[in-house]
Amino acid sequence: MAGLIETRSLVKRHFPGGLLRRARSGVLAVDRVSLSIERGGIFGLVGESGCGKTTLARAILHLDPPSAGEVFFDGMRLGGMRGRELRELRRRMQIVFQDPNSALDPKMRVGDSVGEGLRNYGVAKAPREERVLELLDLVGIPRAHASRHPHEFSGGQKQRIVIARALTVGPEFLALDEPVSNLDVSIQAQIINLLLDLKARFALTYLFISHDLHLVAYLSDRIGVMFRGRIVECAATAEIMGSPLHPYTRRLFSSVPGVAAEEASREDAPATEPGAAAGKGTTGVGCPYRSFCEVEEPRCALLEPDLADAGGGHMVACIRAGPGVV
Amino acid sequence: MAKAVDGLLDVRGLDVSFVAPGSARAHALRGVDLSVAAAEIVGLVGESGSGKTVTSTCIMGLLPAPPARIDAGEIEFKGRDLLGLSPEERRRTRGREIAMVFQEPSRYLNPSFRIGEQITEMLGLHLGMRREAALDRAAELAGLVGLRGGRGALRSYPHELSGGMKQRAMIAMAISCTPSLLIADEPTTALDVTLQLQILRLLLRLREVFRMAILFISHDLRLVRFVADRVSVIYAGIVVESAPKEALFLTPLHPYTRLLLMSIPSAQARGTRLRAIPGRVPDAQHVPEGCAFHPRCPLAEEVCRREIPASREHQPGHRAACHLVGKSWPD
Repeated sequence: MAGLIETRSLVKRHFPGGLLRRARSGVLAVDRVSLSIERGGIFGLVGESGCGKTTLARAILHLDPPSAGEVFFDGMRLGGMRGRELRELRRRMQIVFQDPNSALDPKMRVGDSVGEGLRNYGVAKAPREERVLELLDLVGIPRAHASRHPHEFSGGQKQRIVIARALTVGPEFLALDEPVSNLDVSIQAQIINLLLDLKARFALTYLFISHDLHLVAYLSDRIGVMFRGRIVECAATAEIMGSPLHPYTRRLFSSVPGVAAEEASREDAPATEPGAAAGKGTTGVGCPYRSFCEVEEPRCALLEPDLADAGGGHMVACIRAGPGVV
Repeated sequence: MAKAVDGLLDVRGLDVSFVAPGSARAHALRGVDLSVAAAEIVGLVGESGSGKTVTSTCIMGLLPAPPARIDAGEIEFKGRDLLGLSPEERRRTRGREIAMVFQEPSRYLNPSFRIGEQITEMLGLHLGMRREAALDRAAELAGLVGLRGGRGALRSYPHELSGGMKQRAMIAMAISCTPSLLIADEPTTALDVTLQLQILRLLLRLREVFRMAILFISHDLRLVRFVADRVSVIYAGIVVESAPKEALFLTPLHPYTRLLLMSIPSAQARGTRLRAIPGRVPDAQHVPEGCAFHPRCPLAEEVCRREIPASREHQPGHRAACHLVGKSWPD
């Protein structure tokens, strides 16, 4: 069963600190991620800031080529592709970012911004403009507004415009990176409904990145949980929400009122910060989560667990939850 | 209007505009009523531009005038109208009796002073504490808010702390003089979810320990439900609904509140369409006539386009400003 998107041990290293002070090994922003996104599905990716969600999305689209590992789109390996091949393939995979302001050129009419992708692919002016107006219509922006500039639109409208632009080239796959996080609650629902309509209309596949667990649980059919560059758990939505297996997933879910089966307690708990901000270097040995883990055992320090099937496609990277271990 | 029994803060009819030469008057607050009792946690919920932050800044006395202009209203705090106080008296109240925690601690912590110095400065300024006593007190506060490392953390500069720790440091500063009212304006919005809950629990604990009242301002209804005793919903500069928490979430009366609750996604709603609210929050320069929500309201009638609805008490403690409370929902 091959997905539309498949990654195998995808790795992305960052080399902070300038050319001369580069640590030779770099920082692992994405660490051996293998995932599969089924055609027509919505794969939700959750995790705290700095865990590597955005880096993973960019590596999948080869916007930043991965340091190691493979990405397959519809069975084709992106890694070996030349410029032109990759460019052609990019028509089929697009990305939408959180902040529409940085995605739209303030000096360009939005119609031209939306048509830019088509122009890059050499589509002539007349059919290009026709397509732009059609898509603006579809995302709920009046055709007459195509000649306006970004500042004349609200945040929600700008995000609609960015979505229209992503769709002009006829993609099959959209990576949506926190597409509604900057929007007000009442506007969020409008954009989410729009994304669901568009998905049905164009038979799209989504990678949906968000820190909002409620939203991800609402939208996705499969959810992956990221911690420090690794996917530590991945399963069908009902499965992972109903019985999260990884201690980090359980912790994450119980941190948000109304997500976990048992209501988050109002009682105070000791202050610990498992997110990337805690700044503890990884020693490279053992489970990276173990210093925050409530159920750590001596063997957790010896071996870093791989993502393994705990039954029925519920993948988890914890030796306590692995196959045959309880 | 009925006064809260042991009212600590009573904001009545607060009317604030922003007037700048060359641009239209922005009517930010159009008669805000809000009360907080001693040791009570009140959630103030609204979308961006609804007037949440103008309300809190005005209570703090930090609204820059001009361009801001307070046209009407009272802010009664412990029986005194804050708007009638001299600038000097207000300055003494601020920090000492009413303190505030903001969304982005890094913007309000001074980057060039150690955390401990910033806390002891507050203690010296407001309580006249000597350096040694203030340092002891600061260490105590650091422990209380969970600032890891105690005295060591006090020696750190803001940039040396993580986001969650910075927010704890700011809370330590805010509560250093044990104010009777703490205003927390989106205190967890910039934080990761696992930290968010810790900060909320800390606020709950402060209320227990100091009987501190908290005005908790947020756009996130779930957080408000977690932390608050009572909730007020603000829309276009008016508090449209105000009720004890359970009543607000279980039997909301105002169409805006009802729609807001329906528009939140959840795992339970999978496969169903979200109930989106059409249109957008009006900006303060173009507030619609009558009920400001009428262009987005599925119930709106002629009267809603004409008259601003008065806030009425429909159940004990449950007020709503809507002409059509009780009208059945379409579809």
